[in-house]
Amino acid sequence: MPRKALHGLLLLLPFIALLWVGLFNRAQPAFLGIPFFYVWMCLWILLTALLTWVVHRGWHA
Amino acid sequence: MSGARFDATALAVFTLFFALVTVLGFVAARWRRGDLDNLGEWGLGGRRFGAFVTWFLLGGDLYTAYTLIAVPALVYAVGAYGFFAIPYTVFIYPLAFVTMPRLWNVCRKHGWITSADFVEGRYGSRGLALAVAITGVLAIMPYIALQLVGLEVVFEAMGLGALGIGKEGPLIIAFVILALYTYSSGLRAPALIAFVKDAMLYITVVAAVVIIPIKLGGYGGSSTPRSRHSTPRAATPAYC
Repeated sequence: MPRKALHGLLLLLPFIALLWVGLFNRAQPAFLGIPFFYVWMCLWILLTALLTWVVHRGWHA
Repeated sequence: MSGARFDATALAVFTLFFALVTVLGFVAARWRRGDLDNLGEWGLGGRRFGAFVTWFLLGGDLYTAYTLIAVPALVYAVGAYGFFAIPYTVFIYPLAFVTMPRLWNVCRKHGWITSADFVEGRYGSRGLALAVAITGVLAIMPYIALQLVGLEVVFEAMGLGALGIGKEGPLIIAFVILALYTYSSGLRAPALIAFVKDAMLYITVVAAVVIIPIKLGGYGGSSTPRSRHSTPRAATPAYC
């Protein structure tokens, strides 16, 4: 598999992490009193930006 | 939704920003100067905005009355289901990252401006291009309506109704001004205004995350919203 496609696979992670609701449909562990359900989704805003940056670096290196 | 009292502070802040944005909207015609009779200059800023300006433009145009009024209202009304907005927004960016640079390059090479231009050039069908163009216009209608309703809510909250100029008066004035500077400046207007919008968005986010919890007594009780106006249907978050 070419490197570009391998890198691109990283972009599938947000889709798996956020569409598989059973994975994060829970209240614990809470963070600052915020249920895990919300923490997980907000965390993936940051993670997706980070992953996109990694893929961008990989594609244009 | 009535009975909101006339709020001089809110009105002053609104008027100040509205004036600033209006001036910027018209000044934008001379920003990064180009021949505005050329549709590519008017509608795409001559394709010369670059990553920095585009970042602000996207921020200013994606996070609107829908984000600030409609989604919070939905969460307030039905609980956790409203959080569909997070995955929905997150997914846009990887998809755009993979497809848009290629689309941009192809369209620049051929001088295509709208998605209908692209479809006509790529598939050689005027009928399909027309269908795409009409679908685009129809699809944007509910979105514009949503923005207008959002604007009306803002006017209502400032107590403009108390001035006796009706609900539609301020709305029509705002919309006509917006239409005028968009007509004269094209995409340069929203792009320049986006810098102001984004700054305001950051202020709003800080206010929502820091100031509102302080005023309402922290995050502990935030799962039971308090309001004088209505009782939420789902006071506790309904996990999907």
